[in-house]
Amino acid sequence: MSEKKSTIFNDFRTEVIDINRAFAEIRPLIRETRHLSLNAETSSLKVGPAAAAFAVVVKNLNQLSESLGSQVNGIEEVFNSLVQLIGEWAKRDQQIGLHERAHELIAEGAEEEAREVPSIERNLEEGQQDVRGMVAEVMDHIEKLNRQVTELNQVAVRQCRFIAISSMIEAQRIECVEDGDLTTVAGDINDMANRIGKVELEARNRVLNLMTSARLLEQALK
Amino acid sequence: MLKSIELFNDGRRRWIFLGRDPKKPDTLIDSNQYIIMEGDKATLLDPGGLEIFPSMIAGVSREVEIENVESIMASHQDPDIVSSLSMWFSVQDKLSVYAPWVWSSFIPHFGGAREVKAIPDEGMILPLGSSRDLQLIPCHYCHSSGHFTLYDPRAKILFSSDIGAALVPADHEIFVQDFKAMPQYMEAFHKRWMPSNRAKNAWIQRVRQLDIEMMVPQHGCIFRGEDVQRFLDWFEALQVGSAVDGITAGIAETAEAAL
Repeated sequence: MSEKKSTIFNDFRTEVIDINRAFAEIRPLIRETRHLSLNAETSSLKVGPAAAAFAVVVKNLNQLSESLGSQVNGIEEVFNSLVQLIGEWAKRDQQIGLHERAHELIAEGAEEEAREVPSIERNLEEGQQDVRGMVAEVMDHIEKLNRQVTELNQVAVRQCRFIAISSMIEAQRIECVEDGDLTTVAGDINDMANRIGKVELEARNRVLNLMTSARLLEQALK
Repeated sequence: MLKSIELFNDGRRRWIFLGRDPKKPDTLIDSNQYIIMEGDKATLLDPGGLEIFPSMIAGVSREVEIENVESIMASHQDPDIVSSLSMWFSVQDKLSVYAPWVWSSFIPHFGGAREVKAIPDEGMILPLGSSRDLQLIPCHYCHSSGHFTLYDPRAKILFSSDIGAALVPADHEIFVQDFKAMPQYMEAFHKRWMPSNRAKNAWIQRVRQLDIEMMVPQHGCIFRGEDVQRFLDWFEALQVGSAVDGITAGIAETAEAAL
């Protein structure tokens, strides 16, 4: 790999590491959503029969937590596979570099009766084919990540905002006659919706950056 | 390009030295590699690290068809010995790899995921072509816990792996010219890298029984004729395991700090 390609490849790897940081912020939100659900349940029980309708909020929060969990698992699975692929790519690339250097040295030494090594030629050809395949696979993984992060926006963020709004309306209706616990819970759900939105936005921006870097790398390798 | 020197040739058996690459990056310790040939078949002794693979294969291909490289013998597990393993497999997939049994499941971590033929502690005969005379002689703890030297009774050459290693300047002569000038390049290495006086002396006792005309180490210079005995005498007198002093000094300091 030339110095320029190598720089682009290293930048790409850095972007992949950075994206992991963004994804790592999503997992704690699953646990916090479960806590919110427990808080909502406890507060509505304290209010008593007047807060019976709040049970829907609790149910929706539990569903949100589950759907967040499965989305995060899906993202992590694709991400781990991407990291593994990049590791293999780097290893293959190092091998190609060594084969290329060997090829040059054998050619240089031809006057000193260096023999041709057909397996070097074969390896170079196969290596380049492998890298082309790996680039295609990397692009495919990034596309998958992009789809999953978009899904996170469509499902988790929107679902959480919807729960926040419905819990606020419900809390205001109930607390015309009761104390302010449910309003606090509704406020917390709203904060959670904002946080999920922020994390999702960060992850989406990073995936988009990663796509740009991957395309640059793809062009550099052509 | 690696320098190549024929050390022995009786028409059937050949020994070839490959080393002192003038283009080797300074960050890598210099290493000597050897090819032993029996007819058109070859084995590579400690073929070196990943970084020197390109120059090694260029050098080896000058001497032998790569398809005729039957085996690699890794005297021990260090990266400068055999971290190029996966690359050798990539150019010769029928290659056998011999290594001390204690390292036989570690060395595949260098890649290639092939079975390593485990050399038992007591040593064995390394097959090469139709010959069965290359003796793998144990030198455990000199420096690695599983470590072998190789003796060829036909060429009277002893491959001594890290024993006799000298950290010489890049442009230093390949053969020892004046033994008295060598200890400055060997002493610190042997004192630090060799942990056991008992192991060292056991190996010396064993190889003193051999008829050796040349001792070829994996780093530094080749000893010929009387320089081989001079080296063995020097090594016998040397107290090794110097890093232990650092540990005991540390114990004293820790005890002092605790008071």
